Amino acid sequence: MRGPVDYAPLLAELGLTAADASHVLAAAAGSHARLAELRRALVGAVPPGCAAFALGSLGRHESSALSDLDLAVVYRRGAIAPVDADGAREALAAALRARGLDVPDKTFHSAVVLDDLLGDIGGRDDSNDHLTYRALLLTEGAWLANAGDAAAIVEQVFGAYTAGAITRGRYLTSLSNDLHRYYRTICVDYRFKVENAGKHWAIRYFKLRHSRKLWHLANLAVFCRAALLPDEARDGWLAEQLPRPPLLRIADALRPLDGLPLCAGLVTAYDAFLAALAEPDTRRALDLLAYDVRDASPVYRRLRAGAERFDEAATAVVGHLWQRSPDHLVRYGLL
Amino acid sequence: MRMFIRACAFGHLLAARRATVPADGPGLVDLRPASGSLDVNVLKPDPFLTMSEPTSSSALPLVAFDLIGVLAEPSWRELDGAPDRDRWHRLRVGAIDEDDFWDPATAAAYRACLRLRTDRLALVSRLRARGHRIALATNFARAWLPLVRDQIGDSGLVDHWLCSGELGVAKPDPRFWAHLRGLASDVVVIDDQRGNIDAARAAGLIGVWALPGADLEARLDAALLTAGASGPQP
Repeated sequence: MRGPVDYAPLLAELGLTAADASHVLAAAAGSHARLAELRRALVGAVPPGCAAFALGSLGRHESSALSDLDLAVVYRRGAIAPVDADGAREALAAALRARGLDVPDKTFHSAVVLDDLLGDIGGRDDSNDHLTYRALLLTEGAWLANAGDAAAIVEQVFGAYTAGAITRGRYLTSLSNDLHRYYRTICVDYRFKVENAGKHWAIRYFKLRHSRKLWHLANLAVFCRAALLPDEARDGWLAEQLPRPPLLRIADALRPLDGLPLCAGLVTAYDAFLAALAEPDTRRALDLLAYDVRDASPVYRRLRAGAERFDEAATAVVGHLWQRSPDHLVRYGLL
Repeated sequence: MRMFIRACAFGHLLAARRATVPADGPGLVDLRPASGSLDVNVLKPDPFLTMSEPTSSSALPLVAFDLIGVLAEPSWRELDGAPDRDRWHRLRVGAIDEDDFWDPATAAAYRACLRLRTDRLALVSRLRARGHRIALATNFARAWLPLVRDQIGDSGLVDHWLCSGELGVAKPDPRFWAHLRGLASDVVVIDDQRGNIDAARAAGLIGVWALPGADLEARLDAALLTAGASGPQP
């Protein structure tokens, strides 16, 4: 996305007003403004051959002022020494923290070599971290420093799938399978983090039921739609769609399938979720919420009811895809 | 004569592949002054660029590259927190000056960010070595062009510079394509905007969409074959 995400045409098509999606709109405008400000501030922050990305909600243009920033630094082997790439990542994280941003050192704690992300897809050394980088660079990677390197890196990630002469699949299922795999991985990762690593459960739970599910639904919808395109048009359409925010991806997939009105429920349910995550009190309440007493929490009950509305809307979309692109949904989405 | 041109082009193609393909894949050329520690090696005159010039032939299709999204990054919109497209539409055809477009700090940041992609410059070099003339056909502010022109202009890599800010007309306006049509009978346009590709085709040019992730060189080679006057294929 070059400029701010423009949801206005979609809202008009759906018969929704700006008030119906005020938090979606605020997140889009705020995310773009944050990205632009950071890009201006980070000029020259990483050396040539290296690129910095914001992944997560900022990369999806769905962030609020409370969102953390998943900072990823990727470089090409030989372009820069690993120690220098790690140093650049550390300096960048420090600069972002100095600006008041929460930059976790989790999956993206050190710089990664692009060749490692692409050299063993599906192999023994293809770690969850590598899968995470590939999936997120393709679907929610917004550059922060070195735009040209960033573009070349994302193109190479996409190209790693399209170039698989034997395994790519007519519908580029080598990629859709990897995106499915990532979604299932984060669902299971929730179990580990909460049960074994002692992490808070509530925000993760509601992210799984909203933003993660929307991301997965968007991939399903896009690939179901792409399967109906002429072979020669498919890769280009996918490459164009995958970096777009999930709501727009779903709309673009459903529009030619006469299913666009089904997006209205998704937009309003998702708007309520973004509204909740933008409230400091709600986040605090979720951070403190013990699992055993969750039903006594008004915040939990409100978000759970929202998640159920979101599920209804998502189920309706899947039902439509079942009608309009059944072959792809069944053969590649389920089986 | 045609055989001779092809033979020369093939020799230069091989030389180009040896000389210019980065061993480590795509990269960037920094457009900032070379006073710092930035890598500007690709921009320095080198034997390959000198060698490639004499092979340029008007018998082969002219290849016209878009700038932002194809040869360079980023777009101005990615640094402007609240981009104003109406002002951009005036800036890009030279109707307003950059001072009226955005503040000096953002202007300076954009200049510092703007970089050419070495993977794409290597492609341009290979085309030059095969004898194709190269045009840069861009919707771009006049004020930003010297930054690019100073760097790749001196290398002889680009034969024709078509910048909307200088021409006073922008893609996809048919008048922009008319400028290209005036340069060669066969023109292949490479652009990342599908609307521009459609417009170029409507104007009688051959369009190649630089979609992300696709092998641009393979698509370009196929288009050059369509044009019917390509040099030897890799």
